Amino acid sequence: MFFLSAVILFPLLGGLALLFFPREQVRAIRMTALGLALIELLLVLGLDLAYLQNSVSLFSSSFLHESWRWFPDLGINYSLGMDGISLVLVSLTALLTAICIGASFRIESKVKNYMAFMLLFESGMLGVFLASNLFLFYIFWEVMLIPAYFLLGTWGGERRIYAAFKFVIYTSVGSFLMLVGIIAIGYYHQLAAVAAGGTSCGYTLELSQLLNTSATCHGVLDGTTQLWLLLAFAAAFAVKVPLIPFHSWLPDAYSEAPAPVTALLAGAMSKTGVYGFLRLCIPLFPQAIHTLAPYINVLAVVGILYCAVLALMQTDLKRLLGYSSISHLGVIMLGLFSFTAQGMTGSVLQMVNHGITTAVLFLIAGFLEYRTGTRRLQDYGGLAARIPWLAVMMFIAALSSLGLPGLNSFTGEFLSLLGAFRANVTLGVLGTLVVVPAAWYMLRFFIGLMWGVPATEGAVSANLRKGGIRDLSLGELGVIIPLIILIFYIGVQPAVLTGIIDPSVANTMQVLSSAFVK
Amino acid sequence: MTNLSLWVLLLPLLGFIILGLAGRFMPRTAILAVGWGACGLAFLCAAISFFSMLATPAAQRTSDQVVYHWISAGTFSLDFGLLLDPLSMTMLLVVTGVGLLIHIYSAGYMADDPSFWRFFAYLNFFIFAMVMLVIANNFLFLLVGWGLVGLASYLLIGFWYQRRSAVAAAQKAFVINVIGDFGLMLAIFLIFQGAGRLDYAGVLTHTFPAATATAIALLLFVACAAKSAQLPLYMWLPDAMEGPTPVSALIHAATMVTAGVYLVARAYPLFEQSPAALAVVAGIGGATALFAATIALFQLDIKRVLAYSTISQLGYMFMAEGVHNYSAGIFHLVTHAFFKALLFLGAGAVIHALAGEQDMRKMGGLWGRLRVTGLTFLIASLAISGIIPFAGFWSKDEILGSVLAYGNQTGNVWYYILWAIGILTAGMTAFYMFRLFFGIFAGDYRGASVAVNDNTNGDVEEQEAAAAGHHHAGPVRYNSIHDVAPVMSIPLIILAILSVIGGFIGSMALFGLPNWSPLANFLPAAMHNHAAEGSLTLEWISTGLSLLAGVLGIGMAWRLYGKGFAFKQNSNPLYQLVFHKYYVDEILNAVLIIPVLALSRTLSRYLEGDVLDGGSRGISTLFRGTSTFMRRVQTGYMRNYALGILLGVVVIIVYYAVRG
Amino acid sequence: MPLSAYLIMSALLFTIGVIGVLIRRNPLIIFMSIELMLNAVNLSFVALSHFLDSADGQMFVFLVLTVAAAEVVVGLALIVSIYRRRHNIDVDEMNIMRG
Repeated sequence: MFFLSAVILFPLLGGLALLFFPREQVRAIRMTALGLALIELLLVLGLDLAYLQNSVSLFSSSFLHESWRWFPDLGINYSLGMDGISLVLVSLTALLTAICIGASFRIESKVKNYMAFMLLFESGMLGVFLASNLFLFYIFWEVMLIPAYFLLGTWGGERRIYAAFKFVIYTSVGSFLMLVGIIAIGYYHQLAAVAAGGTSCGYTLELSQLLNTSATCHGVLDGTTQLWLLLAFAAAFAVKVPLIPFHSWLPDAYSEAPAPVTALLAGAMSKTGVYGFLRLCIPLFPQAIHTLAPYINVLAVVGILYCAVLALMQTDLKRLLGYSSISHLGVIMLGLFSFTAQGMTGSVLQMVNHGITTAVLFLIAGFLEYRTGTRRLQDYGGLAARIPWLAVMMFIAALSSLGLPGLNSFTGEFLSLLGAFRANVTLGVLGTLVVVPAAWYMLRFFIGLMWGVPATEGAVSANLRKGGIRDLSLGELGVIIPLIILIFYIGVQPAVLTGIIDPSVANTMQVLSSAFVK
Repeated sequence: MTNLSLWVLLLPLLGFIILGLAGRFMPRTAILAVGWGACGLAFLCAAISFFSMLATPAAQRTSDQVVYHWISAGTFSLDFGLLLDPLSMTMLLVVTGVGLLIHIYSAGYMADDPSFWRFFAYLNFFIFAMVMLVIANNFLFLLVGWGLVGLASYLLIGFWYQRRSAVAAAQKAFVINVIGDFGLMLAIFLIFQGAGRLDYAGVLTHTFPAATATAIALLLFVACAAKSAQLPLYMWLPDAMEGPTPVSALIHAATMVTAGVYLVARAYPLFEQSPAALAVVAGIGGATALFAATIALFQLDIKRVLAYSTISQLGYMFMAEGVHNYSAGIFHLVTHAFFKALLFLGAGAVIHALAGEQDMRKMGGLWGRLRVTGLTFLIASLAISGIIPFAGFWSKDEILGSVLAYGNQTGNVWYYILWAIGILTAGMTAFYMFRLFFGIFAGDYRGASVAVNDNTNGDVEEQEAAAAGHHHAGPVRYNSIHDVAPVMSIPLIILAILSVIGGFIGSMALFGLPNWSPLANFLPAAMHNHAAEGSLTLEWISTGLSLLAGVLGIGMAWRLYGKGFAFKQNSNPLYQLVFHKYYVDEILNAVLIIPVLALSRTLSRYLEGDVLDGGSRGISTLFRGTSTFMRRVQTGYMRNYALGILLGVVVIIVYYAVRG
Repeated sequence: MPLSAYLIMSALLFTIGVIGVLIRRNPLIIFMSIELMLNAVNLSFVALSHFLDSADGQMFVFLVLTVAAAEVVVGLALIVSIYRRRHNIDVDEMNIMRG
């Protein structure tokens, strides 16, 4: 009965427990944090097994569903639920957190706080993926923001304060609009339910009640109300994804945050935005989402191509990866808003794939920055001979990112774009076109770092002369290898994931189509 | 039927994995054991399957085997499966067979390279990818193979990754090939939209609406044009010569670049549904054949001559497919694989003997030193020039014959022109091949004596290459030039034999043996029975003219270069245009690449930097400014606040008093 | 006496208190002025209570008196401690919180 709560709260409590460690026991703190993250990963694996054995849907009252009264008068309950979509994202988050904590052993200052924030961050994200009450969703949404702010602002690079402020302000503007939307949706839903004949219908923020079309207290919001509410929700999610033109925080945040944090931001946190669209916006506002979808699709396509072109000439490696990340998330959005089974399944699949691939890329960028002290592409060159394993790992990740057939990202992007193409040929073609600049900038990235002749001046060559650039250490290898294996495994056998995702997507699509039958 | 196709696929993969993970620590013999072993066993498996297939009745020669369930999403569901039929069988034999010979040759060619293991790992990977491409039973795994061979090609072009030119060439090859992947992806989307499935068995029997069929066929052809270096996407192939020469032989001549020809042959039912698309295929094929041949006429780098020649020959194959004679295209693919691989390997032997020299101006007179190489090179040159009875004669003849017959049947004047282009190109082919042959082997050795004053861009690249520590260690004295070791000469000899007899698998109808046509009979009848049947007279006209063109070309080359090659400056603008490859690279650079990069830089600086980042900073400045102003109100003096309260109260009271 | 006389008296006292708070700089005087304002209010409470014949107003007066006493205690304590720290109790000098 407490399984989902345990999954969410374990990292939070673990992080709190970590605070009681003596400050100077750095090694113990690191190992404990990693241990906690690994135990959490085991818990999530248990969750996977449990789900696979009793395939449940979002609101079925099974042991993978919890509901405790909290402020029932305000429609606020502590209720959790899950389906296949939540499952894969929860698994991704737990995996990436464990890996990013493992990759954070080089953090030297305030290790205790860092680790506690990482675990808190994990709790926030897991909560977002599992909450099935709007208010609870909002709470976890904000819980996620706080550790992200501190991780970025305390342990980041030179311009960390600027980046952290920008990040928080962008996200909170979105979040507050969402809060307004949440308060309003309960109100309007109640009005609509009463108007529809329910005499004593209360104010509710419970997702299951808002969506339950068969109940007496179900009101159908009219189109205009839906649209305004949707815009309020979409504001929060569009910033988080991000959709252009709400992406300006991202290059700064991604390039200034320490690499493991960036890996977690790009790998897991950006998925909460897409998840919000999928879990809340689409089922709650089925009519309005159809009105808005073309605009979102256009923004997604523009973002895909615009950011791919931008990535071509970036000079900072993390910034380049940041733009590439926005571009790929555009593909995910395009797939999602195609409203076809292929596009939506592909979009969820691609969320997992993008999380894995982008995490590897950012971690490797971090390894390189640690070795050379610079992120400027011009300083690099010809490192493959010196650090072959690092080069190989980076190459695999780069190939995955550019969508090489046979690796993980291809499966997701293919399905997403197939769906997009079926929904709208023009957008599908334009979205697919991204493979060309993507190959171009990813290869330029790889070649600029690893191939060619070593740079003769700058930080890298100074380090090279001192012999200070070494290949992957065992620890780094241990961090990267699980993700590399997944890159291959999902590429070869995506059916394992699509088998989980597809039925849940079908349920979502049913909500979407039943709204239209009415 | 014994079907070992899965092993053909997996053995090279296994070889790649072993070499990739452990090759660094393995001795040379172990590397060769794995590398050769993987490819050799794959060839053996292919051969066993082939003979087993020959023993089966023609109707049961297709085997479609599902390996595992790959993905499902809504109505989209796909299995990974292997399709072994005569077409993929032919390709498998060519890929693993020529691949094996080149694996053997490479042991000698790459013997001094410190990354010996890496080379064989990549070669094995390429064989795996290419087998995947030809053996997949659906379009999606075709795309997987399509992408993976592109990757293999990228890795091998950029094998010497410290050479700037090699790196640039690798990147260019990959990106242009991705344009092809883009076309293939869109074609797949359309196919799924129309047929609801992607496996060949379902798609190729499906009838699409005419417009869709044309769109699919054209998009497939975009992919073919990129992979097989047809206009306008051919630019990467000449640059791809930066890779080690065995790679040029295997990937950029014999196998990978023919993937486009294979795809058209594989998807011929789709092309049959769209006459317009087929006309495009034929037209592009003919145009490319002529265009590339003209460039090859004046090139100085021996590998570039061969590269343009490859592009031109691929054009022939598409020409054949464009007139419905798919099996003739495949036939030329097979014979071309023999003689072009041989030409490249021969060129490689020359380059090896001259310690990395590729410039024809610094060769000459090598007939005396490189006897085996010279002889095999001569055979291959005769074969590609279409001289009877070498392999190229039969296949080229069949193509030209069916183009003429098709023109005759449809009465469409464009096909006569296409045929004339084919004949013209045949003559040019003979000319540039023998220019090359005489340039390398005839006359006196020009290597040690002169520093040729050239103004082409070759020199800069070579200096860089020399700086990077590979390639071209400076001129070699004539007497110290040695012919290649047996490990390299044996593949040359085998390929030479195949270049002589390889053509006999084609049709002998010309010589009164109408039933002798093993290859065409082996391939499905539908792959050639849509082709036009010309009368024997027509065939003889075509054959005679193409032979004549070939002989004329050789004769001209003999007159000009028989005594040795001499480079003369020529300021004729037409010559300059062709000599500089029609300035295509420069134009592309100016029209596409520089603008895109400039756009990226501009957007990055102004839109991202000034507008968006600046905008958010502007908003924050606005707030800060407002608050700087507002904070003055917060004096910190109690009495000011109290006064404020008082005034507020007064205002409220006055308001209510006035309102009553 | 009519009610208005009480109320005018109360308003006058209140105004004197306000002016005292606003213009004096010695916190002790300010406190006395605040007391004056409170008592002005008390006066009107009592007057209205009598006039309306209701005990509610007188109840409030007691409440105000108690609160005022408590407030004076806290306030004087603050003043004493500020004096001990700074040897000066001019309110205009107490501006370290100024933005």
